[in-house]
Amino acid sequence: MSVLSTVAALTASRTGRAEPLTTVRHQHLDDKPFVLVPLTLAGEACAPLAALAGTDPEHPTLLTVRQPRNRAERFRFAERLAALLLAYIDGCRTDTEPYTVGRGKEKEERLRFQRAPQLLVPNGEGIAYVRLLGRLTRLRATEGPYAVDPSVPALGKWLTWYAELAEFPDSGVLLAMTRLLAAHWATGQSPSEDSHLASLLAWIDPPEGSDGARAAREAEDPAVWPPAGPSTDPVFDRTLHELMTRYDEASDDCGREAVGRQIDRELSGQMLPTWRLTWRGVELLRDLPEGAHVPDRWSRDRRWFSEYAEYLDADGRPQARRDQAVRAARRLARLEDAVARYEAERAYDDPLVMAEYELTGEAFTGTVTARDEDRFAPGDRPGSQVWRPTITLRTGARIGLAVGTEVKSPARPGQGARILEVRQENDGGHTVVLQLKGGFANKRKPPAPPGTLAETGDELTYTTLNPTAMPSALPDEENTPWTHGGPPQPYEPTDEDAEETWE
Amino acid sequence: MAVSLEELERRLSHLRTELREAVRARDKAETTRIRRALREAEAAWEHALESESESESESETGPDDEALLTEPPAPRASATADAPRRKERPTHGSIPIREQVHQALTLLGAPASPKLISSTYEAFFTESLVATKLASLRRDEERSFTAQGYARPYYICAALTHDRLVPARGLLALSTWPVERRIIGPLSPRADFLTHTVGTAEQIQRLTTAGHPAPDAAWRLLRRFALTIPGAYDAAAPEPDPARVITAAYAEATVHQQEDGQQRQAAAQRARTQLADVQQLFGAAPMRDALRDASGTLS
Amino acid sequence: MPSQQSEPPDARLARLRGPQPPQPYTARKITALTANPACARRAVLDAAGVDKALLAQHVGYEPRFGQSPFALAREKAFHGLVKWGGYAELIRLLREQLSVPVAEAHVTDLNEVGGNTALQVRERETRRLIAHVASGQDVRLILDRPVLTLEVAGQTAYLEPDALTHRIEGKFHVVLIRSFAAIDGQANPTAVAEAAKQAAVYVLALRRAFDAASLPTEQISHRFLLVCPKDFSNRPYGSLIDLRQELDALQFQLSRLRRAEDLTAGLPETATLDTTRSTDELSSSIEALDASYTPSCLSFCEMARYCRDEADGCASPARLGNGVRNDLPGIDSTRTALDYLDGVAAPGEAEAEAADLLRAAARLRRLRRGAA
Repeated sequence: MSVLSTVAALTASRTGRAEPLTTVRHQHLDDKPFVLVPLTLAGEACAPLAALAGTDPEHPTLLTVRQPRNRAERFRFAERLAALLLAYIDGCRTDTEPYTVGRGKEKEERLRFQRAPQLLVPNGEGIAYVRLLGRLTRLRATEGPYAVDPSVPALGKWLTWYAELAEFPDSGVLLAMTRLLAAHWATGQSPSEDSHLASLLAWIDPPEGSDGARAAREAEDPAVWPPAGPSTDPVFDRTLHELMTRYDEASDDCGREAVGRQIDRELSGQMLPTWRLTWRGVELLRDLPEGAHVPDRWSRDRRWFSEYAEYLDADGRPQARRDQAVRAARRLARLEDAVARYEAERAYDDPLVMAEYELTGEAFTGTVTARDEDRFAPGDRPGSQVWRPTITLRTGARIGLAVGTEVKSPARPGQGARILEVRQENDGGHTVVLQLKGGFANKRKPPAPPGTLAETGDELTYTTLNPTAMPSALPDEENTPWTHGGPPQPYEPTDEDAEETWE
Repeated sequence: MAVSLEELERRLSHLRTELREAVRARDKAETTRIRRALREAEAAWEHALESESESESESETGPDDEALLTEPPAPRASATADAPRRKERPTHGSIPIREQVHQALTLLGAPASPKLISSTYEAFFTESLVATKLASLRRDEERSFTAQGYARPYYICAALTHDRLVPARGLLALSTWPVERRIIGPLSPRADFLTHTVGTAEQIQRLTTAGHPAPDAAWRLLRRFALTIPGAYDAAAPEPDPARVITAAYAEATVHQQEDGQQRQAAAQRARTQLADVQQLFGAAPMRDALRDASGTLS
Repeated sequence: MPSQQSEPPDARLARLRGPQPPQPYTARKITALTANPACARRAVLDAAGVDKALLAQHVGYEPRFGQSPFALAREKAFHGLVKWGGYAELIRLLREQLSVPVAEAHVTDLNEVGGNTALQVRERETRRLIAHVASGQDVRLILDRPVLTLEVAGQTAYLEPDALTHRIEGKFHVVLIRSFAAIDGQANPTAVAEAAKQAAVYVLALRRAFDAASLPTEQISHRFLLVCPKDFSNRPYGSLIDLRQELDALQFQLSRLRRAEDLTAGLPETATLDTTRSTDELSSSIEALDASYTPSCLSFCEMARYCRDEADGCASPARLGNGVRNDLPGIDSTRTALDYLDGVAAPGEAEAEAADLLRAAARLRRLRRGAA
């Protein structure tokens, strides 16, 4: 939460309508995402109750478990979800494109798929659900006394892959709609209230004739907008409890099926509003132009996807119950890098995000008032002279950066700059002189090729942020074939894993 | 048919939604009204279902699709055979509940909770014995004993707390057992648990010797016992070894035996001298609540 | 009716509540109260034993809480499982976690005392037994559902931990049985934190009981045993969790709680929290008690939605969350903040810095939104 978002929240609280926090969309939104709206049975660690799933907003597939305490029914649910999701994942494994990794002698050409499967869930709890269901299904044996269908552990491995990548802000393979929306809009309510999908969307997209504040309150009514899951509405659970009791007590298959049909209908009624809201969120986000770094990040996701798919074909052992210490530590380091780089990229792609750094003094925007195209400065070798033009910027802002600081402009990411001089002017503004290096189309002396040196009157933003200088998320080849977390330690599921009860 | 199943189900769903709203609003009158309407609609639905299944045995219709919902793809054949939805249990109305309890307690050999009695009975006799039905049994037995005294060969009676000799909460015992066996001192729950374990393991052994392998449920029960007794369980073995379980249970029982036994003896002695026959079986009157008047106001 | 000065404070609270039976304090209520110790409204409602859900309903805000029958059944089943077979699973866990020797298997069921379930009777028996055990005259590994007391805001709360456990020459541990799962040794951190706060309440109550009986409180462990289902099974799993932080926080918060009777002193003589009275009477009495609404109240307090609308009405910055509140130091209303932004009001000296930053941010937002 920055002061800028505080101002946005204040404004929203007055206008009754959400305020944009960004000018672009910072996440990839696939043309064909897979949306999953899950429900679980209250009081259980992870007992799937129902889900709406699929890639077609108009035709979700309804999956229900009419007796969640029955182990076989739970695994049947997993099989049915696997049938849908694995088919979707397979559908992304068609066309490939080449890319290169490494430099110099280690340079290597590889192939990655042109698509990656994107899974969308309504909220953060949905991501936790994906992780749990993955943990629950990936270690199951497909042979022996507790055998399950091979699609069940396959589903588990993919769900775990999703959940692990979801921890990285620069990955878009598994996203929670509430988080996605709250990253792009500020509402006039608190962050905890924003985790309620219906009320968050009410602020962003209020119904005709209502304002967001009022609509958000109305959206809290569980009778109209059931919880977005996976937890159910406790009052609804009474209905469900009665129906399930009838289901168990039905005297024949026909009667049981008829009660089952009613259970399906009731569950579907609890999930459909959330299903529609999630797709409405997709529409709203699609209306935003995509940030410049988004395709890069998605290409990395496509690479992780390609590598994991390859790994599953070649080896296929599941992820361990718990991360090994080394792997966990490496993962944490990668996560920190990823967060920093993602933040920098966002700022480069979006002036409204950069404004946060301007406010804290880590960036400034000014107008070019002068330029010295022919300037030479002493080089590293004694007596040498190197071409280092300068530009002078005038800014109304205060400058939080010291002389000597290396900065860059998002408009000219290939050109380095160093602050030579900062002068405070009488009107409170500042004059900054920057020495430029590189970015002149490989020229080593004047004149600067057209467009490579800022013109007088240009408005430019300079910042200490530099996404390209940050450690790449691309891990060493031998270390990480498929994800950010270091070498996979393939895990041999034990008998205990296979027979683990799912009560 | 006047109203289709589909319409009735829509109506049921609507009523349930209304019921939830009334519940949320804590509107008792409205809740009652809707519940009544719901019951009527359910009856109508059941009726319609019956007549439909009669008339439709030849033409198979799929479930009513909702416009928005498509049928899920058929799952691939599963390696897990469907567990039977519920075990069909023949109802032997002929065995009275008290007899079922007697059988289970005899097997277990020490006072036990209704839950354990029912799971033991169901495990070995593969017939159902609903634990909640045992709630009133002790009182019925006491009434019968008070009226006729020792007219029956046994009564299902209480276990007694060692200090106050009142009925121990939630335990049933057999009148044919000596009072000592029915006393519950601080160590008795553990000692009795070990006795239950031995009883269960021995019954499995007996059945095996007789050539009638014990039901799976009985093995599961033994496993549950064994998992909580030191040295009774070998994690590598697929199922517990009754002989090993018995040895381990005895080993722990020996540790408690002296102290527990002394407490039981002393309490039983008091029971015999202080209590009437009926109290020896069903316990002394519960402690009077001297503070009852004050109990309503905590603040 | 005696005059207000001479009226005993309990009577004043009882009079506020009216003829309804009082709602008892629970560990959960105490942790909720200490989560927001500045809230006089909740402190008085709890001390008076008012049914907050009913009260909220009467003033037009039906609370959105409720227990699912599935969750209740699961909770009950898991408790039953842990205590099944003469506490067999609990004894196993204690042997594993506290290296309890086999010889120690003594238990006492304190759900009733000689057939009596009254809290006072059970509390007395608990005290008696604890004193015997602590002084070495008696041995108990498990006390099932003992009753302890704790003074909260000047009121006595009766508390029922799931169990207490004690090893000979060892320490007393509070035991909590919860049905949320520990998966691969890790449970939901929010659920564990809530359990730990409640356990701290029990430990503190136990310390008070020791103090009252002049027993050494060093015999009470600062860790509690959390028992929950392992992975996706029903098998109980136990872990010892350190409570020192929670205990310090709880003691601090309890000391900050003003005595409920002091809080009621400012109420008009006609004030009432009796849920049989009219909405208007209730609303005006509730308004006379200061609330301290934050969005986190929504997750535990029955009155939260009432207080939220009140906070909206006076444009309290806290209603928008900590982020906004922290960015508006010294500014007590979001309307004032907006006035500073619009330039229709000038900030005072204390608010100037925050107001300047807000204005700079607003200017940047205006400039950069159009820049794309």
